[in-house]
Amino acid sequence: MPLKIVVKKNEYHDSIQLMRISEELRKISGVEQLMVIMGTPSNKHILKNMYLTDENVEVAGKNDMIVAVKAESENVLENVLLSMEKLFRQGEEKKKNQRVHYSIEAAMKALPGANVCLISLPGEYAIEQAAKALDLGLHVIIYSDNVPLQDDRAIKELAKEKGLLCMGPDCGVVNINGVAFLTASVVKKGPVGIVGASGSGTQLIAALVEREGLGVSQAIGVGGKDLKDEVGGLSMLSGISALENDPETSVIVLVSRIPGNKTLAKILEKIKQVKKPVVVYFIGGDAEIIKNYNGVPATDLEDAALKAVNLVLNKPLNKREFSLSSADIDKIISGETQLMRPEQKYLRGLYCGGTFCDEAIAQLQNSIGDVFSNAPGSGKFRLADAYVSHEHTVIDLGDEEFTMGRPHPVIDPVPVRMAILREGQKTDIAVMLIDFILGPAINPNPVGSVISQIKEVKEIQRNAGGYLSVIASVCGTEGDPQNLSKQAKMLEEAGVIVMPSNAQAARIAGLITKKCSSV
Amino acid sequence: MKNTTRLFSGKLKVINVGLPHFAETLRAQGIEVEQVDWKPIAEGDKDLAQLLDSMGVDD
Repeated sequence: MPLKIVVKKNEYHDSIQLMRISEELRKISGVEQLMVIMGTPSNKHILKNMYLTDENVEVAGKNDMIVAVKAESENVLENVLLSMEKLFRQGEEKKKNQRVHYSIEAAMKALPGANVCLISLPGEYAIEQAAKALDLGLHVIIYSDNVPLQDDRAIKELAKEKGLLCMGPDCGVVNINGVAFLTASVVKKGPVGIVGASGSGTQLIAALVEREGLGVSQAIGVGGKDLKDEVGGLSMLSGISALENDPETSVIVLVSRIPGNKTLAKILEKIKQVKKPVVVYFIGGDAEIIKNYNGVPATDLEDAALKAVNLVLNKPLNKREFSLSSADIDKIISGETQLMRPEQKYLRGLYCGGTFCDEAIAQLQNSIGDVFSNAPGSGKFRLADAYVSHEHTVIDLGDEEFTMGRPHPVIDPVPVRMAILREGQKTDIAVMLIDFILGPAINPNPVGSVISQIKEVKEIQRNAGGYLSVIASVCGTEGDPQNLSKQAKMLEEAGVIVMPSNAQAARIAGLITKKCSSV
Repeated sequence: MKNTTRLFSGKLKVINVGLPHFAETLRAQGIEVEQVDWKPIAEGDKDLAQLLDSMGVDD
């Protein structure tokens, strides 16, 4: 089958535009495989895995656009290239009909009273624009990742000097005044405020607060690196102050990976001074020390949401291990393990949400112990290569190494599909653990985008005389356009066990894996 | 914290620099957004960009 690769030097297009163009071009009859992407290392890796590569791809740079097509004939290839040019021209025409500006200053003239600047540029260019925005008096939200820590700190120091919020870099979830920014879910307004150095963590806490009958005043994302000592928690400290002074916020929830030691000390001192209750979930953190500073420690994201709700409602702060009864949980475990082959003993977690990945690693400790991962902080269990799993492995597919120059997997599911096929076929895999995230800016059908691959690997394992247990959770709200119930139902119809939270999904996945490992 | 109090009590008006997709999502929620069309200066050539910057060439 003919393969055509074209590298267009210094032709930059945003990753979402390229994703949409790729999706359109794949519909052309006779196209077997196709990718139109920028030449970043993670994209080139994908092309290599798909056998859509040559020496021109290898030397392509991150500002070069790569068109890689495998089709049934040369005529189809030519048709694809012509159609692609047409789609780009249509994009340019559409832009001409929309008002666009070439600087923040010009945009502000067109929008008097502008108060927020949302920045989603390649990391190396984002900070300069953020600094301009802050100088012009705008609060900033920076989606961009791959920003050096010293720049992360510097932009937050500037924001502090200006008395403005700097939400990011590496911030994917923000809800301000009931509006969902970036990949956030649409959440009802209410008395719980969240400050999160964790996109998926913030998003799930917000969704579960709504599920329990309340809502969120503000969800301030601070960026994944905020609580490292090099950055010093600057945005989290600002966020806590902002919610302390917000009359609509009754309870504050903090969520993050475990902070650096110096930063933890600063955050704890701040918590002690705050007059409102503060629920704290620092993954892997010490609960006692949080209590010593008058914080309310949570054991997982769901627990953080439940505690926040119960503090507002003045109810007891009980922990929920599983929503189902012990008998029902045992029945599920038994059902999932009874058809497995003896050599099926390992777990694979495939995560779009970084915090879900971290939370799963923490939860799995209690059942199967340490797991390998590409997540930072995995220590001696850090994978040497994120594409090569080992024993029990949990992968964060939203990590920077996978997202440079391409949309996050919650927007573009290609890496998730590839991971499901790559891992699900392995003869020693017993359990696959997957997250799904909903929201207005996210893939319009996260489950539908990968359900064929899930069914395929379950079928492969069945044909090999075994059984692949697939466990999932869906993070979203009734306000999200993907229809939370329909997404869950699609999974259940494919034989996937859908749990009410990531923590519960990880817990039951661990118990199933433990049982089949011990057989 | 005056600025955040103003933000939380006021009407959101957003300048979007980068992916138009995120602007579309905000507009769908009824938010006024102005789009800044951004491309790397000097087509990503950092040496050329620095040269242009030193000459005071605007982006």
